[in-house]
Amino acid sequence: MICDAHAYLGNSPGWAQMGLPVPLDGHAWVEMMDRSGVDRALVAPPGVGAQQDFKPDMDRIAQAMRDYPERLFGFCRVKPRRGQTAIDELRMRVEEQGFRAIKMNTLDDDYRLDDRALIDPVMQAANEFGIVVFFHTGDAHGETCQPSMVADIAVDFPSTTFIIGHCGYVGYQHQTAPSLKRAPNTVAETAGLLTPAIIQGIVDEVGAQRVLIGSNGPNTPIELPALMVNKYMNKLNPEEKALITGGNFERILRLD
Amino acid sequence: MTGKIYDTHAYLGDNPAWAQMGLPVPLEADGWIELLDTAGIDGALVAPPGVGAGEDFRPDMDRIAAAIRQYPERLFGFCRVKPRRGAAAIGELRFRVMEHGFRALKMNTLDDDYRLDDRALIDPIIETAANLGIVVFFHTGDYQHRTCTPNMVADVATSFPETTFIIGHMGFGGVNGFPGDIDQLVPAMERAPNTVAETAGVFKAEFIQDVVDQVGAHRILMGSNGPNSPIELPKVMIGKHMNKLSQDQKDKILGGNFARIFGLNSKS
Repeated sequence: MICDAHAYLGNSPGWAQMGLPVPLDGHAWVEMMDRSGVDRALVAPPGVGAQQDFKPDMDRIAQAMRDYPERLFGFCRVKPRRGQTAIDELRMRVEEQGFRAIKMNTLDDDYRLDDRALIDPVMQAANEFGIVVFFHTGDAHGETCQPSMVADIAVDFPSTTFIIGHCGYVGYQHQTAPSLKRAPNTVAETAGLLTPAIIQGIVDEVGAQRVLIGSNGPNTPIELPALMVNKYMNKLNPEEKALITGGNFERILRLD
Repeated sequence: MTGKIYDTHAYLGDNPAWAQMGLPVPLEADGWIELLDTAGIDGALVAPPGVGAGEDFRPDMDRIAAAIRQYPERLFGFCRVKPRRGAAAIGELRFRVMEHGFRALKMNTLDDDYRLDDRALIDPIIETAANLGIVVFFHTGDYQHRTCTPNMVADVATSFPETTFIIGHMGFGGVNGFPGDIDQLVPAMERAPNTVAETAGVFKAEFIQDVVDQVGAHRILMGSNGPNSPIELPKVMIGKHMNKLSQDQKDKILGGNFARIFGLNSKS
């Protein structure tokens, strides 16, 4: 089973540049998965930034999960500054629509992951709902979302699984393995990293059971990460490849 | 895909990190041909790996020379030189082109801590490349992006109108988390018609399509950065998933433009 831990479904006009339908709904997503050899994906509403209203695309994701419950899984995105409104939104998406994870990007509400007074109520809610928490890390705003900050949060919520999105991306990759070691309830996700030596270096330090492929798709074609791991990362054995390309996803989302 | 497929930006030689993918180190001609066959790619333009002023590219340029002798239809050589070495750099470039058949010069400002707008430093090298009739490739964008912008490439290119200049990585930034100057790319290409852009490191398909929409598919070349990144990935992205492109446009980007720029059609 090939599973993508980091993808988007909804209305992103740029996707027309790849000849994809816009908005991209569940049916088109499954068609894209079939063309790409991907079995399952965790999808979020696209867009980044404080001006984004993620709700119309979360409605599309809810519909897609109803249509394809074995193949598409939903990320909820919320703005922590909305306080109880954000928590109520998260509760509704999880309890009524079956969303499996929360995706947090500090750009979406201009915050920092070390602003614990702001984000801990959202983390407590995620912990209570039993969902996985994904943090975007690294990038041009990487200073606000470092892997070490994810580890700080993760040690306070030991029964929740935290995903270090992009493995620290550009700028903070060096923090990823130490953060994974410090917080055993964290895993790292590879979107944006199509450079095997960096991923293999993390696997060498923490083991293949702590790394998940993600694509950022369809911004980047969803086919590429599994192609990279399965065909070109040949220091990995078949069991390690199976964990990274799908096994870990199924374990963390409790699909097996 | 109907045409031949060529990778414009790859590496051959001794890079210990490649063992992390199970590749032989050093990676020489036979290992590279196996990689090309695995990926379904016909040929590649390969440079010595490594970046930085401390690098000595000559042992890997010797490996590249051997590789292009062995597989002249499939492997093509990039020469790397340090412009501060002056006449020695020019002599090295001449030697690699005239004696070993290298096809292009690859310049990265990190390799000798210079800037592409230091024209007194780089123009003698570029003039040599122009006289030798080879293609000039500049790394652009990345952490050192202020030293190597698409605008600087256009400035150099307009002074050497007979030479083809490749804007490596398309300005490299904003699209994959790296800093860069992608906003300069299209204006630079419009200003200097003897420039083309190369895609290595750029995996945001809509960005590549935006550039194609503005400058045309005949000015974009596929590159991989391989084997640091698997050489097959850009081929799959462009050939299979960039479906606003026509087949003719895909063929150009995947290999037709490379064959035109390096004069391969007239020899085959």
